[in-house]
Amino acid sequence: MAATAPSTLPGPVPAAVGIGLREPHREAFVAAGCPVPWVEIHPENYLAPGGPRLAGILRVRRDRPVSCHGVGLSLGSADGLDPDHLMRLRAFYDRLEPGLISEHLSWSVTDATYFNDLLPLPYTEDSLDRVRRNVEHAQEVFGRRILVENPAACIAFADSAIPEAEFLAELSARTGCGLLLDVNNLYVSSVNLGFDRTAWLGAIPADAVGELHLAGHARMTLDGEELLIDDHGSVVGDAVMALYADVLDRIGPQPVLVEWDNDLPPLEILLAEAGRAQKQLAQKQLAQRLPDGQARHFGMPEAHCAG
Amino acid sequence: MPADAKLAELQRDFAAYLLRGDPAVAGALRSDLPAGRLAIYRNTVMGSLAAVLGHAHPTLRRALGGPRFTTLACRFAAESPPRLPMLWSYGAGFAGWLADPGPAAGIPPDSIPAWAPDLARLDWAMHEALFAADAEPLDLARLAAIPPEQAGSLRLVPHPSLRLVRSGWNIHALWKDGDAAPAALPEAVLVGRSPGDGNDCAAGGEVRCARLTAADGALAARLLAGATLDEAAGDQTAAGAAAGADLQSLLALLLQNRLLAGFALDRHSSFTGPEGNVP
Repeated sequence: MAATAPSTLPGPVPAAVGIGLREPHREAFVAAGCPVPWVEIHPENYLAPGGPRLAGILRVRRDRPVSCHGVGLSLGSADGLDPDHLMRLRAFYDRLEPGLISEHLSWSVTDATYFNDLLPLPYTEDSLDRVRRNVEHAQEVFGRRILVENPAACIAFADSAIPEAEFLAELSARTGCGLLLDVNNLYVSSVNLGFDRTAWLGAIPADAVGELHLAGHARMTLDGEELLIDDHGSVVGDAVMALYADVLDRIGPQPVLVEWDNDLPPLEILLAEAGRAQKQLAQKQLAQRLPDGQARHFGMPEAHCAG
Repeated sequence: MPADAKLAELQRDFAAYLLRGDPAVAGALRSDLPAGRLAIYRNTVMGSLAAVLGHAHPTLRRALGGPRFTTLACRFAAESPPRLPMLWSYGAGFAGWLADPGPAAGIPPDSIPAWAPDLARLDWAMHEALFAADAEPLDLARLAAIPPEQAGSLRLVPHPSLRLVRSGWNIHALWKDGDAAPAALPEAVLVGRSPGDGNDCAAGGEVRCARLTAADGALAARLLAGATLDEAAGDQTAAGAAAGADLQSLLALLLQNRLLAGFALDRHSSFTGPEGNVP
């Protein structure tokens, strides 16, 4: 449905680590020969009539699969989705042929005002039905399945009666949408809101997960309490890397993205972060291919001789 | 209350908090979590909108200084938040608001320098030019083929990125030189995106600025509004402002920077396409 003619563009997003490609890095990324297997962009940054940004991302697309991670559709809007924005995205997707399309379990539009943040939803039967209708609407217009990402939050609503992971699982079951499991968001929300990450992961249907996200977060003190802020402004923390290992054990290898949006480092630093995440992913992939007895010895060459 | 109406009310309350600090939404939060955490969302929204406006208005931000710019940007953002999720398009109204923030903004009189709105218009023109539609530049051979006696009937079709900013201040110097001091000086700045040279990194083109005298600025304004060359030059003479206006140089500037997309000959009253095909 994405295109009527056979595409000559690079194929689907692989189960490997990509980077969130931001404009300040784009030219250096192309000049370096597009040194990761795939990239993810925010489509809203490219919904423009023309100019170097749009031309530049179409250039990247010639060489690499691109995933589109929307930040403006507002799947949680009580008013439904903005039909104009849906059509803008659809036209862009038809042109770019993204390997994955994702959005957030959040809202950012009310009364035709756009808030540039991913705002939290109450998790109720009513909101689940609203998000279900919105996801179905998006998938129908795009003619493609979307992935829905778990948010990072520091507040929750008194009305919320459904645990977040069950809300996502039910949304996936009702709409056929996939899930984007943001490991950093899971960590940040679990600390801020005090829920059990293991139980959360246990409620997520592994076969619905189509992508993982990794990013850095910040710590801040507010009124004497410490909070985690999902600022995407640093390297991926140790606790998030450890949780990533758990997620890989449960979910299996997936496309993995390293995001960095604030205080952008030189491209090499971001690529090094991707390399670190790739090493862990490759270990998991190798372990899956080896018989049980050998998997435990991965990384020790003698294990291969012994086996 | 219908299900969607209840969620809509919650989202409207949340929006009122984000824009104006209205605390009603705090009543909907889980009671074991401090309501003060809501401030994180408000700070994120307002802070990032100020950053978006600063990104689109780098000269104004530099000239005003970061803190002063941010104060004004947050006031504007609270009154005129984005209507579209494409944040590159946010800020079109900022220059106009700086010229007349209205009493509701609570801005002390004289706290916005007189040159600030024009500098914002120049920044915005450059920002818009970066995202404007692409178009093939005018083919000079087509233009050269026009018989000289018909040249006065030409109407220019500007490249979609072309903008003209006319000002009573030295906005071009303020843009070009961070050490320049604001001075009252009527001038105009022509802004446009010259098409790229075909290599990958320059794909889509580069935004450039050229300073015009006030007289050339008036001439350019007439041409870009659709006057024929004769009409533009005639008005110039009739207005008694011919001194200094230089049609030849202005046309050369537009052509050399490939800022025209086509032309029309008045006698046909029809535009050519980007390739300059005369019907």
